[in-house]
Amino acid sequence: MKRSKVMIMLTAAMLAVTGLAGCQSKEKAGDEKSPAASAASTVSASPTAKALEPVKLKWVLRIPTQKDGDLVLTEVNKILQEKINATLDIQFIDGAAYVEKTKLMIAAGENFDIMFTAPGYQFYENVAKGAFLPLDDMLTKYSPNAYRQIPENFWSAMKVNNKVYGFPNYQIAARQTTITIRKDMAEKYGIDPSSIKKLEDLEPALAKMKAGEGSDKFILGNLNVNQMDVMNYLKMETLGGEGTPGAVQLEGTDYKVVNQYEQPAFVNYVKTLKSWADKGYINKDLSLAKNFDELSKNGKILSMLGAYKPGGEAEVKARYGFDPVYAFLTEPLVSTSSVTGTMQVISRTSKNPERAMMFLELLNTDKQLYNTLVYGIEGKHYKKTGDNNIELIPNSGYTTNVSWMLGDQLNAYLLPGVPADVPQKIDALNRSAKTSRIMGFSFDTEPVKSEIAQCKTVVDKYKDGLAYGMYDVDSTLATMNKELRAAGMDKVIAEKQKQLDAWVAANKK
Amino acid sequence: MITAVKKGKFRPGNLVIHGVFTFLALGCIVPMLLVVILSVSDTKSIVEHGYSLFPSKLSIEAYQYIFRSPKLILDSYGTTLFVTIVGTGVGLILTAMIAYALSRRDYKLAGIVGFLVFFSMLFNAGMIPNYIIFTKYYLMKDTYWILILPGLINSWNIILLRTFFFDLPQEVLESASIDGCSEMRIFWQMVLPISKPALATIGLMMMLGYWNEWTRSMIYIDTESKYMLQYLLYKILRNAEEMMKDSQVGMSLGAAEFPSDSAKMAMAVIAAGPMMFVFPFFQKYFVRGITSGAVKG
Repeated sequence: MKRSKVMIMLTAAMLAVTGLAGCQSKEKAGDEKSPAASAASTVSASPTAKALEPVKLKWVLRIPTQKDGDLVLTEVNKILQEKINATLDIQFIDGAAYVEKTKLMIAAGENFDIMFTAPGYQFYENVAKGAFLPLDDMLTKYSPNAYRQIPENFWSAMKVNNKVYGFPNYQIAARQTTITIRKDMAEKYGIDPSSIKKLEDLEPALAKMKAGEGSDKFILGNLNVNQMDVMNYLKMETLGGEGTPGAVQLEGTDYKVVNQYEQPAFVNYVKTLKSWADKGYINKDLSLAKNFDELSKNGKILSMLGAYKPGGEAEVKARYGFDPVYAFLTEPLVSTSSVTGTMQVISRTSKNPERAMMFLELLNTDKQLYNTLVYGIEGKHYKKTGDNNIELIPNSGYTTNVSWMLGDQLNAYLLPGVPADVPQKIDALNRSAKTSRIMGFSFDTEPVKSEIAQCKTVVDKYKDGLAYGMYDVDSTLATMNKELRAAGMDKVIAEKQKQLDAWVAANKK
Repeated sequence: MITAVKKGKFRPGNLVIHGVFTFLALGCIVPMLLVVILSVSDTKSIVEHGYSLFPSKLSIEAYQYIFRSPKLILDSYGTTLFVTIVGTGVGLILTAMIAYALSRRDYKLAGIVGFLVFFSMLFNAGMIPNYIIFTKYYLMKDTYWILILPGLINSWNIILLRTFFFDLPQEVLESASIDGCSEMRIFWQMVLPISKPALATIGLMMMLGYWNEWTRSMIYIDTESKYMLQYLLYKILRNAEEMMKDSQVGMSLGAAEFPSDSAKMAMAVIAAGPMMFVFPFFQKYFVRGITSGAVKG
């Protein structure tokens, strides 16, 4: 008896020690900022004038291992050796393991030079840990052309604490909320998409499709209440992740953070959806369907909510199996999160950050290099069908399919069905789009992490039911907001307001 | 054998008990059955009618889809089998050796070693220190070693087995040594044979552990042919999700082939199948083994 008591005390003491040890290691991981600074300072010794030393660069990408990866790398290295005397090595990591593996690599201080990342892959968390180098000085010095070819406001979106940490993979960033309608349906029922300017204008079209297509089809699908495109339509921008309470109006002069789920525009939106569900245009079964793509390929989906992209018709056709027409609900808008969706960063463990930057310059300006990385070797992995057009060879051993991850997407050869002027159109749309008035602001979730997680749980519980018109709107929103309040929403909103005020003070006059 | 309940006599209490256990058993069996049935259901019938125990149309397309390029699956099957067999075999011997030494009262360092074993059961350095040690100092990244070595010894198993060894009749061992047996021979020819139930239990637990292990594949393995089966399964499902994520941002080409629901279920059947057959085989030892160390004489 006595012995067991001693044992319990001992165990308790040990557990307490482990707890402390856990905290300590965490702090340590977050504190290693100094090496970044020293690495940055070595960059200033310019190597461009002299002949370049041969170096190896390691690039971490979220692409599954490719059978012909080595072949393609040999080809890539021929170009690289000639131009910047570097050889590239790619570490392929599966999407399934990307967050975990990169987290460990960074925590262990493993050596690598460049990494693909995005906020969804812990970009902000890793910047806070000091894992990446600030790029400002290097950009203009070693990558002047690529720097110039990307619009100025994109760079401000990449800033954290006023320093640029990411090199955006330039591509469509202007978001325009859109209703995509099947072309054959639009023709059959005489729907003129250009006459649809707001959600309510869509109703007659839905009614016609409903009347004509019977009950075994889903009239309107892909609905939600949180996503960027919906918020744009409601003239708000969520700060931090989608579905967390706290948004600002897109227009106006004050920067007041409000709970988007209490705004009249939001309530109206949900009520519209509810009335459509009652009329049978929206089917609640669709919210449960995980296989939206398969349903639409089988011709079950007649229209859906989404975003527009020039040349997107070919993608819609490939993925959903129909030709689309678009009804635009908003003007195009560029915001921080629409730009930061995909980027390259340079690691603080890089031994040759300046050469890594030179590589990024080439990647974004050298069409041949970029396309080899994206599509592989001509004749083996793809066939050229025109100057700028190609066709993929099926089962070729190199199918990354991720031009959006590897660099300036406008340089990519065009796949069948994509019109030749798409790159210019995307560029023009990006440049002409309105810039969000809080472009460059990024929300640091750390101080209210647990409140955000709890709020997300609440929102997740109700979001599909609201989007597919399953619940009574007023009473559900009242319960949801009550639960959000209990989950710490006010604290989250206050923190967002605090950070936004500080940002406004620093960036706006 | 005397049974508490006489045959043929009806008792209402039994009905309730039978009912509860039938219900529990169904709760375990039906989901498994659903997985198997879905794996042979026609994709279209799943899309149209949802998950159902009685699909409108059967099809083995999912298995054909998976075995169209069987290399990946066969490779991981090979890896998993190799790792499981080697890991369980070597691990069992090492565990038994340590546990036996600790159980001997004439082993002077038993206190210290026992404490170390116990200590490592309570404390764990955590993922990042482990990662640094394994990759930077042991250089085991992307090797078969990393799949086998970390799982070889488990403190809990050692303690369980040691308690079992305490109960061995010491007189038998003593008499063996009087007859001139070396310590090694006592261990191999006396201790191990009488400990079969305990060894079977621990062996089964280790085997399940190795068979179901997937995090080490995820963290340490880069070469596809070295993936273990469970991770391959996880990867196929997660990658589809990740691809969905991309397309939601509206960036990917989206033409990639997602595995259909029936293919996912077929993967699950393939991955879980062999263990379902191994388990009943070991089960007769299982109950006896796990309680074997529980009561100390």
